[in-house]
Amino acid sequence: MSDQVEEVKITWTGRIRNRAEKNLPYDRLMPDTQPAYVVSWIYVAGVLTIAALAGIIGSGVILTFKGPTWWHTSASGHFVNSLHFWSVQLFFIFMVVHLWGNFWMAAWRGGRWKTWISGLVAFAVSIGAGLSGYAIQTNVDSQWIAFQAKDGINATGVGAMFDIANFGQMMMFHIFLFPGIISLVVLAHVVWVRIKGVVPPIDAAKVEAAIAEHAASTQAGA
Amino acid sequence: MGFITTPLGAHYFQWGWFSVSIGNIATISAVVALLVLAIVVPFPKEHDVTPIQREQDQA
Repeated sequence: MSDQVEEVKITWTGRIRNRAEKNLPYDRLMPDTQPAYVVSWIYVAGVLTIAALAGIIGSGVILTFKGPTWWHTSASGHFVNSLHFWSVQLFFIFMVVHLWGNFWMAAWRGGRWKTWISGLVAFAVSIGAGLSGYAIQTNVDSQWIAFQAKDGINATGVGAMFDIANFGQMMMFHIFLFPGIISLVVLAHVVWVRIKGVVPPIDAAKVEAAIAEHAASTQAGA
Repeated sequence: MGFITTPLGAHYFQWGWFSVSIGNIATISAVVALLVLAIVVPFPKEHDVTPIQREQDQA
């Protein structure tokens, strides 16, 4: 590729394709091996968060079709409602473990700031999604939460756009806007991880140099 | 320092100005425990590895 002149495209689709081919070839988009330092449970927290998100969306779709009467009164409705709730708990638990793990390994190094910021946005929007979900349970609990939260939301100055006492708005935010934003941000987050690769540990260069030196001395001795 | 129960039945731990519900502190503790376990528990070795890992294993 290096001895070829890159063709300049005049269409936006062509420019996007050129850029994707350069930054995200198939072996980087769908890698089947990872560096040695990825052999750690801390690197699993991110994919567990995505698995929990899939559980949230899957159970949420069923709740959307069946409706509040079903999830309040039937045994199967209670079950799917609980699946939705506990998927959210796992989502936040794994996301926080993923956040802390990456914070302590300074995962924004090596030009990965877009990955870090997109994770921050996903976390912030998830809090809004969680709060709007609590507000649309259609029970006394949701009334209590909405009317307790409205003063806090108003104090932040966004109450005119985020009116937690407005059931219709919270419903649309919860089942369309926030899941849509989170899904797109998570997709971008994963693509940026693929483009830059998994962040190495802070001392990775030192460890790899020591391993290479050890391998060289072993070969010299043999 | 001690535990209190609110009229609605929620249990809280209080120490001076510090106050946290038992449910919240249990969740936070679980997340901290998960983080520590993720760092200290070894990952299974039977996965495909890079040349660096193979050299390390052979050394």
